[in-house]
Amino acid sequence: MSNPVMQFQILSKEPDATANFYSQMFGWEVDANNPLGYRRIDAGSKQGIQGGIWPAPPQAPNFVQLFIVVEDVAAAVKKGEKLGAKLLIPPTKLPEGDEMAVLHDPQGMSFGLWRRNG
Amino acid sequence: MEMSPKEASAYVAAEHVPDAATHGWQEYLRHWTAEAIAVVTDHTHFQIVRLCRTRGFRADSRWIAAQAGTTADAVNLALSRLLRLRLLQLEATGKWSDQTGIAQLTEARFQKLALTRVRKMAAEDRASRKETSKKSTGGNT
Repeated sequence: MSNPVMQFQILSKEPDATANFYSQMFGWEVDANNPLGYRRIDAGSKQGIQGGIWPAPPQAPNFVQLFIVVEDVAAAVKKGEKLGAKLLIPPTKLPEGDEMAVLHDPQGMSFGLWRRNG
Repeated sequence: MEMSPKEASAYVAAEHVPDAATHGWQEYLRHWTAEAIAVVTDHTHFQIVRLCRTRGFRADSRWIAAQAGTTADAVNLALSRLLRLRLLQLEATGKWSDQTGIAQLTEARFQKLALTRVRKMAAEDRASRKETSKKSTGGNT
């Protein structure tokens, strides 16, 4: 299985302001009508990837995470750890059935692993 | 050789730029101090754990926010922290599972446990950073 980047996630201290800015800038649609209240971004094109906005912790700067598709999140976490990554958020099932985990790569940059439901 | 005031200022400023190790240490302190302060001062963490033990709990940040008198963003911020600290787990069934192991849950007990967890994870992080630093310097520290 290949492991494409599936989604980007903007972590912002002011998620509403961020959503407003990118909506006005690029015409992106942002929809938070889901159980986590997650601001899903629809960039309105089949080109590129879609994304979302999540609140950033106060001690961190605003930043962007990439989520990479894997077949088995737990196995990918183990592989990452062997390669020097640190687990930040363990494999977690989301309310709509997708599974994710977040790690820091050996250089300290965070990235996500993602497996779609079904 | 004379130095202009601008050059002198630049030298003084350069003296105060932290090296990579100092920067890493400052980042470490900032992160773990913020985690400790957040679990003690932001009651949303306790509210999430309390609510997920109740009947009728809904795995929905908007519902939790309404019950806790806060916003969905505040719930999601606290949710991320609880996941990072391994104090909560989201299960395949859609259930949010409290991982505190506290039989009689009170906010004081929760905060004590959360702080203990922060200390433990900070210590692990410190050891891991030391190990990484040793490797990157070839053990010549």
